[in-house]
Amino acid sequence: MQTETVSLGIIINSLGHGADEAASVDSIIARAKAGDNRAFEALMIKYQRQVIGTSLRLLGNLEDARDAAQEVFLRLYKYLHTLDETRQIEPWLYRVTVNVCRDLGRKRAASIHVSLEAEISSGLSDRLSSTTDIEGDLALAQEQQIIREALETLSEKERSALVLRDLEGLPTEEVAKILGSSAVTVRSQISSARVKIKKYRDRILRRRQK
Amino acid sequence: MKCEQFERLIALEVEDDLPGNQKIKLTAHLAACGSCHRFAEELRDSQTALRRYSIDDFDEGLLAGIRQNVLSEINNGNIGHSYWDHVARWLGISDFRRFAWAMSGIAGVLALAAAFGIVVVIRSDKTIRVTAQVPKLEVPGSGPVSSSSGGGGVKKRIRQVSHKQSNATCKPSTFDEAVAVNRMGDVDSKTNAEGATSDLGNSVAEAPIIPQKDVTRIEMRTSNPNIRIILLVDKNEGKKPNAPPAAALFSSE
Repeated sequence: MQTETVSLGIIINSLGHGADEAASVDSIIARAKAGDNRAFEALMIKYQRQVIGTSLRLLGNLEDARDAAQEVFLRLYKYLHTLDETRQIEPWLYRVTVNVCRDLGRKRAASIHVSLEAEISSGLSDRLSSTTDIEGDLALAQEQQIIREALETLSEKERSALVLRDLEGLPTEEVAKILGSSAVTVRSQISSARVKIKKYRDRILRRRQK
Repeated sequence: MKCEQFERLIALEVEDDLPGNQKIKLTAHLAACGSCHRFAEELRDSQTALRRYSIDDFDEGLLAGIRQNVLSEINNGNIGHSYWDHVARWLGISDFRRFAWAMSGIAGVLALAAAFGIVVVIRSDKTIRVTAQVPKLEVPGSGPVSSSSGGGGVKKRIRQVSHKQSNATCKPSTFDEAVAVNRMGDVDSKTNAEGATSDLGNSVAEAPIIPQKDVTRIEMRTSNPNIRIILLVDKNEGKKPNAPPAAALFSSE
């Protein structure tokens, strides 16, 4: 067990920066393709935050986001041999994440979304114990709650486009490739989503002020 | 353009997603419209709040649990490569399902094309029309015979002959009977009638009776279904240099 932990650590540490990082990822993918499960685990460690973060923003529910992330990595393992090592793996992961979240979202259309609030609250309580800015943290938590609810008012396509463009920071053209549509369509979806988020937020804030 | 339409452009412009030409139009409008200017400010605040919605701080236990679940599925053999995955890999194809759909589509198109070709071939008109030019026959003693009025006259006589002969034989099948018919067509002949008649008369007078076995019967149908041409050729014709061939025009009526 100790030997395995050390080996994994070596693999993870080999993920350097810039060009070295790209070369490291390529070698890890190559080893994972050859059947090295430790290399595959290293891949998961590298991309797990991206996958679960995107899933959570798309689904709004941590439990669903966890299931989605597991499915994404299972698909990564299954289709690893089809991936081109010369291309970046991130766009493929985003595409699969969006598809998995879409399928999961449709299956669980009636899922309850209060668990995220509970997660934020539990996380908030940990932070409160270590910080003196209680009011700031509460305001942040409320704001994030509003944004999460506003995201739920969007259509599936609008939400996917907005999350990838504004929260993941991907360029419009790349978002279009991931979603399998045109840049014009993505711009239209993003524009509509931003206006809806803004109007929902304004409505809630006005209600709270009363 | 109304302010509501400018809202969409503002939503793109706040994150620098607006194309150049539309940006100029929007900038000019924002300079003149206070309401849209306020909307743009509020939208920037909303985007700032949206970007703060980043949930990157995940519990390490949660992440480790995800990895563990995935690896146990892999180790249990639940996630493996199917037969088709191996086939796809052998073919050098990344997505066998898409390849299979593409091949099915191509096969469907080819099948449709083949079916269409078969239908075209079956429905094509295969009737072969053969137009036979009926030569004008010069029946000895009756002049040129055609399917016009002269033929009608001949027809009548033929009918009589047929009627007469029906009691005895079915059809004129001997050279002698054919000559007898020709003799009856003398009245309506217009051209070369006398010459033909005299020839016929001479030929008839001199023509011997030839047994049936020595006669070759050649029956020709014409474009007129009511007219047939029957040639009776003496097999011994070559041996008798002056014997004229005889032809008869018979009607099937």
